[in-house]
Parts: sequence; structure tokens; C-alpha cells
Amino acid sequence: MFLSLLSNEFRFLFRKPENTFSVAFFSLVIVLLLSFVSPELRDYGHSKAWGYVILVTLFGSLLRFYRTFEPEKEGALLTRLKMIPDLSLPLFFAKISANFLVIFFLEFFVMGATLFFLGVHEPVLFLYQSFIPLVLLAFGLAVLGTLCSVILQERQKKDVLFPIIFYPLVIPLLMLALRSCGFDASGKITGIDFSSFRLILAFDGLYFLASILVFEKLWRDA
Amino acid sequence: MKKFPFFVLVLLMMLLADFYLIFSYAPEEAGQGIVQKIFYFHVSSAFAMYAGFLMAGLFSLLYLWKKKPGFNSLSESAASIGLLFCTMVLASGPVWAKPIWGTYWTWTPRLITTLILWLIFAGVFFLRKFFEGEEKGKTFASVLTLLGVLDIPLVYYAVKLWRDIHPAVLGGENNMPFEMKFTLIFTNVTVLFLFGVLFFLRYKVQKANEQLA
Repeated sequence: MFLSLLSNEFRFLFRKPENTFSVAFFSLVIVLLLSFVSPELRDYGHSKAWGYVILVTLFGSLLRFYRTFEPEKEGALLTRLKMIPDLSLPLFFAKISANFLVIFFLEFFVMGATLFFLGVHEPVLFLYQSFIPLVLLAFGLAVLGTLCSVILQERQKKDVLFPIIFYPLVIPLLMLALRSCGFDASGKITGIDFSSFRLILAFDGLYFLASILVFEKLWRDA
Repeated sequence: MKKFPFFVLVLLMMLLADFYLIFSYAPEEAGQGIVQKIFYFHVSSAFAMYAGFLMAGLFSLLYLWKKKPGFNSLSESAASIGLLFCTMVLASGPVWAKPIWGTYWTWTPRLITTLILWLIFAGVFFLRKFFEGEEKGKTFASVLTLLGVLDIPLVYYAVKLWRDIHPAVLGGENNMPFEMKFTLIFTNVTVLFLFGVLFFLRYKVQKANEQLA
């Protein structure tokens, strides 16, 4: 069941590619806005490069989370799906997987954009060290974002409520992701911080477990 | 409920005694002067804040498990009072910090932790408002409260990795004179008692609102 739901998710992603591309477009706009608002970033932004990637990914991923349950809503499928027994967990895993992939690719897109427009090449250059934190960040965001999407799936004004409940919850994840790869002033990576790394793992594991436990209740009530 | 005025009376007496202890009994700190007196309210509010949030988390868990509406009311009441004390911590901290550190706000781990907790539980408050009168809002708010409580240790350890200039009250090197220690303990007990009374009142209001709805 999970695999068929996952293939559906991919179909949704490519059925209306403008939805997926708009996420990347929005992230690109933020990268450009950052460079306009603070021109010194282009010259001295190397030590902050990792932070830009994380921040822009966070903003961009929000657009994806808004649309997590849109395909089912558009097809008026939500009520019928809820009638199928034992569907909630496979559906949740499929949604998380799709969100994870979008965010993961978004991270690489943002790295490319910062390299091209700001000339910041450190995140790409030190990818071998930042790869695992990138994966864990994308996973943590996907888990919490998907869970919050369920809460607000049929809600008007979710554009107001979603950031209010989502951003504060992911602050520790962002702080840890920022700390996990340290860059010095010249932009050279100073090494992986394993304490932060362990805590990201704990964050992802804890929220993944909690999500599995509460998703059924949320899904039925929403 | 009949005994409630008695508890309020006890609370008032404790508050009066506490004011006496803070402003007359406890000595003034040599370096900081009178402004250090905020410390007693600040630290005690922080304990009450954690009590409120942990209770909210516990009642949310019970609500999700048992689905009894009473647990949701208890969780909402505990979270509201926890948020109130969190606001007091955030408000009293800068008043103390300005003369000592020279700035109202500095990005130390302890301050960040408290601010994040305030944001999370303010988010729960907004969620409840958006879903007011809807049954499903209770489940959502309970889940969010639980996620918020899960965030407490993570935020704590995340910011612990940073250097902190905030003084440690528990577990740190502590050479406070007996008068200060006693006043601090008494203030903690008083503020926790105040928390209990406010929590009880908030719960009663909550129940009354639910019966009217």
C-alpha cells in the first residue's frame, strides 16, 4: 500500500510541476533578496553560507508543506480516504517521503543558487562533510512539516497559522544544523560538531516516533 | 470550592511574608544592589513556568489517550498559566539584565530557550483560538502541546552547547548566604502556590465557558 501511495505522490509532484517549481522559484527569490538587502554577503558571506542554505530551505519548504494534502483536497478524496482502514500510516510515510525528497532537492538547488549568485561555494565544496546534516535536516523538517500539514489540511487561513506553529518547533533543529558544520571567517569548514549531530538524530528520532503515535488521531479528526 | 477563600487568604499572607523577606530580611547583594531583588521573582517564575508546561504536556497525553474533555481543559489551563509565568520570566529578565549586563537582551542560551518555549506555547494558544468551538481543535492543540513539551529537552541541550553568561541557580557553584537561600526557597513555594491558585481559577473559568457553549 505504501509503495502505491508513494508512486501517487510522485505522480502528484509531476502532474502539476508548477507547484514544485514554485517552491524552487520562491527560494531563488529569497537568495536574491538576501543579496540585495545585504550586498556585503556577496563578498564576506562565506562563513555564513551554511546558514543561508538552511534558512532559505526552511522558507522554501513552507510552500511545499502548504500543499501536502492539496491533491486529495482538489479531488475531494480526503473523506473517502479516511474510510479506508489502516491507511493512515502508509499515507503518512508516503507524504513524509515526498516532502523529504522535495526539501532535499531544494537544499541542493539553494546551494547552486548561492554559488551562482553570491559566489559562495563552500557548501558545495565541503559537501562530503555537510551531506549527513543536510539529510537529517531535510528529514526533521519533513516529519514536523507533514505533521503540521495534517492539522491544517482543511483549514482556512493556514498561511497564517502554519508558520506560527511550525517555526518555533523547528528552531532547535535549525540551531543544531547550523552548529553541526562550523565554517571559519574564510569559509573553510572547521569540522563536524558531533554533539550537535547526535542531538539532530535525537530530534529526528523523537519526532518521527511521536508522529507515528499521533498521526492516526490527527488524520481521523482533521 | 468552599475552602477556596481560605487558600486565597493563605496565599495573600504568604505573599506579604515573601515581600517582607525579599525587601527586609534578605541582604542586598554587594555588587548589584537593589536590582538583584528581581532574582527571587525571576527564578520562581521560571519554576512555575516549567511546572505549567510539563503539566500541560501530561494532561495532553492523557487527553489523547483517554479522550476525556476534562483533561483537555486541564491542559489548556496549565498551558495558559505556564505561558503567563513564561512572560513574567521574559519581562523580569531584561529589567534585571539592563543594569548588570548593560543591555536588555543578549542572545545567551538560557534566554533563547525561554523565548522559544514562549513562542511554542503562544503557537498552541493561537491554534486553540483558531479552532475555538471545534472538537478537533482539542486533539490538535493536545498534539501540539505534546510536541512543544518534547522540544523542551532538545532546546535545552541545543543551547547548552553554547557558552552561557547566565548565572546557574541549580547545580552551579553557589555561595549564597543563608538569608538569601531561605528567601529564594520561600519565594519558590509562594509562587508555586500562586501558580496552583491561578491554575485552579483558570480551570474553573474554562469549565464554565464549556458549559455555556
